[in-house]
Amino acid sequence: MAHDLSTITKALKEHIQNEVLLRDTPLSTDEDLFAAGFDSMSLTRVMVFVEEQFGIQIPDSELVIDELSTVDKIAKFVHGYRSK
Amino acid sequence: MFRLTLGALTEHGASPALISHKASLSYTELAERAAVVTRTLRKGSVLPGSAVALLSSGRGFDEAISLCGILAAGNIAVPLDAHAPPARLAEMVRSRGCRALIHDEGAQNIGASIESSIEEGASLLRIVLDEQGTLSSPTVPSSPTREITLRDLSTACILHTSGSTGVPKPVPISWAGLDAFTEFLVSEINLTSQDRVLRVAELVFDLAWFDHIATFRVGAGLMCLGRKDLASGRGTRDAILALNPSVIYGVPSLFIKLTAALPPGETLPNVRVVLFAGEVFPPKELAAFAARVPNAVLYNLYGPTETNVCTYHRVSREELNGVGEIPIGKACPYASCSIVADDGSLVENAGAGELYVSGPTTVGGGPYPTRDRVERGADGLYRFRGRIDRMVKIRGYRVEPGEVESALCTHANVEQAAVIAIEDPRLGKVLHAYVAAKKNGNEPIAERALRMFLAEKLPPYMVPEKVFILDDLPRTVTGKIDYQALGQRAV
Repeated sequence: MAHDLSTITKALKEHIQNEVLLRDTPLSTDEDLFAAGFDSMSLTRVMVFVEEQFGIQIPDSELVIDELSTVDKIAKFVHGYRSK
Repeated sequence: MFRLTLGALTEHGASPALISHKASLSYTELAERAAVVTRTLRKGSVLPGSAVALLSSGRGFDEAISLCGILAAGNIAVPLDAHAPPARLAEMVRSRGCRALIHDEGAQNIGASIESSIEEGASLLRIVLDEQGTLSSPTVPSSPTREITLRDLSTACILHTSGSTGVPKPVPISWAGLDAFTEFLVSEINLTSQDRVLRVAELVFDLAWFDHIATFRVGAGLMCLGRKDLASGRGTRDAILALNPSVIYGVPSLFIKLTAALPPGETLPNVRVVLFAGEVFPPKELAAFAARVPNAVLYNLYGPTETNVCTYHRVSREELNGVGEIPIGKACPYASCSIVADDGSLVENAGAGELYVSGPTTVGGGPYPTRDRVERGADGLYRFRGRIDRMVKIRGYRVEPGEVESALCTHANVEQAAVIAIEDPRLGKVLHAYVAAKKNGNEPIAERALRMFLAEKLPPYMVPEKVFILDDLPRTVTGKIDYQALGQRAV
């Protein structure tokens, strides 16, 4: 199944807001996740979610935090990874 | 006895004390900035011996500077977990009777929230530092204050661990204990002013107290990195390549992630000592990691917060066959360890039972029942055999499932709750909660609502990964919650 960038962004935003950060205030897609309480476990959870939802495997050696610090950045990363 | 003072810091002069990706600070500068914190506390009438809370959201230089300022002022440091909910932090600040709270600029909202929850009449001085550890507010006091004698003040800090009754359990750490512990480790690993210590653990964790106190004691450099910089194995690898540390003390999960992030064949030859503690390092992963730090001496350290490190084992390269269990080793010179068998008798030679610990690093001097089952082999070395009670380690943090259950039961729709730990292939050990809902016609509860409810009360590592809502919890024949059945259900 193909996923465009906006579908990926929406799925990530919902998952991160509701399941990882567990907050009831809306998360904006350019908000710094680490300032919002993200830690290494949060990132692992998101990567497990990405692998399950979008069927891609991302090795740990490719996880550059600055490229994954907002929902938009993670979505772009995942989208780019899928098109590889 | 070693005690952290401004004078002790100043003695190390121009040597680098704090190092980050962006900047570095000498011991003289560290002492000057810490002195501002000390003076601000004094000027704010925070008397020596009283507790001062400390919270750094960005883990900049402010964290070590606040800590030095608090300790040099003769105050007791109460580190707060930046990721824990404000209500929980406020409760700790209240219960410990903290007279001041020092935080960074990034924690303004949490700081304000804690301050507003302090009862009227009780004063809480708020001190704010920027990430370089210089004072943002209140204004810098002009005149130096009189030096005081610190020798009667025995407690350095109070750490909190999970409490089975539902309330975080305070553990006081004494200067005598920190002195004995750091003196031993400094000599064991030959830590000198030439060393560079990569600080990875949170200050709420006893590991970070080695990083700060042992490092400052010998005048070595402490590398301060943000949580973000260490949030992936890749980040830790990049930090090691950029900052070139010689000593790292962390939990096994950190080193496992680091190993996974290293390209095939890449090694970290300049790391000379690796200390690990907090959980069992699986032999296969340990062997894989050891191959990446070919010149490092590896130590397995063991001890609950209440005893600090009480046994240690220097791992020999021959032991790293990927299969054999790594012992927790022998008793540290300052710790007296004994094994009490199930029938209450003292195990003299080889045998298994509960480990009891006494000594200067142990709360109240001991003997302290660790609730850990250990076995002493014919070789005299201790090996960890698991918990006697239900306490579990989640990413190195102690969690009493009872505390999570208590928090769940405060929800209006929860009748009863049971929490167990499960091994997840990707996330490591995680918590699962099983909840019996009240049958009183209240609207049904959702899993997510319960997790969000918990997230407002507990730190993130204590919020279960999954919550299952059941009509009733499985029971044993005697009517107790059947935790074994829940565990099998999860598999």
